[in-house]
Amino acid sequence: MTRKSTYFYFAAALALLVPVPGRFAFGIVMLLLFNFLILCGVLFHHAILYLHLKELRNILLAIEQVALVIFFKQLLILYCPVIALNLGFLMYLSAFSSGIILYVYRETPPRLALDLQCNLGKSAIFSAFAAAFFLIRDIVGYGTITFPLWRKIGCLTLPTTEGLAATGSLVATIPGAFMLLGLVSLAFLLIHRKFTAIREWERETEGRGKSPVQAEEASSEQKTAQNQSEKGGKN
Amino acid sequence: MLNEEIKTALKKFGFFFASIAIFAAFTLTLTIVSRSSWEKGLAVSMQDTLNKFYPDTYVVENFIHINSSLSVSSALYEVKSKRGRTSELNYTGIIIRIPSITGLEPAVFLYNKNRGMQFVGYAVPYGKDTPLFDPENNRAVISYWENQLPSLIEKAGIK
Repeated sequence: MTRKSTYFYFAAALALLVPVPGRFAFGIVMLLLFNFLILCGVLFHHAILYLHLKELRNILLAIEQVALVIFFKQLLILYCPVIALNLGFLMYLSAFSSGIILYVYRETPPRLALDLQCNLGKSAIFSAFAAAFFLIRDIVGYGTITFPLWRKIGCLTLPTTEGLAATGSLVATIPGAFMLLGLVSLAFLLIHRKFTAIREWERETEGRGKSPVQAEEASSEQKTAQNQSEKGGKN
Repeated sequence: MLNEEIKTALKKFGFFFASIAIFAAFTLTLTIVSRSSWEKGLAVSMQDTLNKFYPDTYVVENFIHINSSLSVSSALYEVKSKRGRTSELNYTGIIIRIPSITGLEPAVFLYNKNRGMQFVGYAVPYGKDTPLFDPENNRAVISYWENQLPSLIEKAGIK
């Protein structure tokens, strides 16, 4: 994962995870919509390029994304109107989230199969993360697991200890969602940094016998030396 | 005469724009068909909420059509009470999306000309007993809608 990918996940998360109420049922709907927009956006983009309509690409893609949200919302009204009422205009945020713009609106995408594999793979990873995020908010914040059912929101109420019912309610709120997202992103970046150090050690020290901690110290010393030589060169 | 290149281009463009036209027609049909689902589905949600807070007291009846921008974020129904004086048997039930600390939630209100506007509850599962759904924690927003909705209902021509 690159820094650009990390930005994509965080930016997509802000539009999709924070303003939506923390019920798993709403999370399922928003993630289905997100993946649907990525899939149709990539296919439509390639259709536009095939027809040599590159000059109209941005406007056609924007119209297509909004049209797809309208279509999806009608399907949702048919299945579960109360979720459609609750989500309302939040569904349109998906169409203009940084994630969609960054990966569907690319200037020169690769060929169709590779583009689909790449984008759907990334959206699948994000969907797994977001599903876990909504599930944690639902369980810890409300003490329930909710599902979208036919014309209602299905609910499985979990047993709670009397006196501790309010514990964790913060994560059900919007400020709580911000905090949780920040903490999860921080933990994710720390773990990713450690895995990157281990991979670099495996590449650099095949047969040399250094430990990962020594490899990380060596690489940070190398970076400091490089910075100092650059400053010396400028002076 | 059209050469092969132009014919191929016309076929490609024709196929593309025909697909868009079919998609638009399908979406329009779906919009018309989903109206009845919107009316029936939200009536079920309102009835469940009324039964949760006032068991065996109210019955949700006909959907009320309103010509207002509020129709995209709310639904109005005739509601009949099984108890009370004759002047208090007919209510207007409103299910409307309102902001709260947990985000946007669908809230149910009941309106009667003599009794005024009354907040019933949120049309979502409450789960564990927390202050999240306590009306006192969202008093400002609920009061705002309790004051605004009667005038909006009267403007929509509902008596």
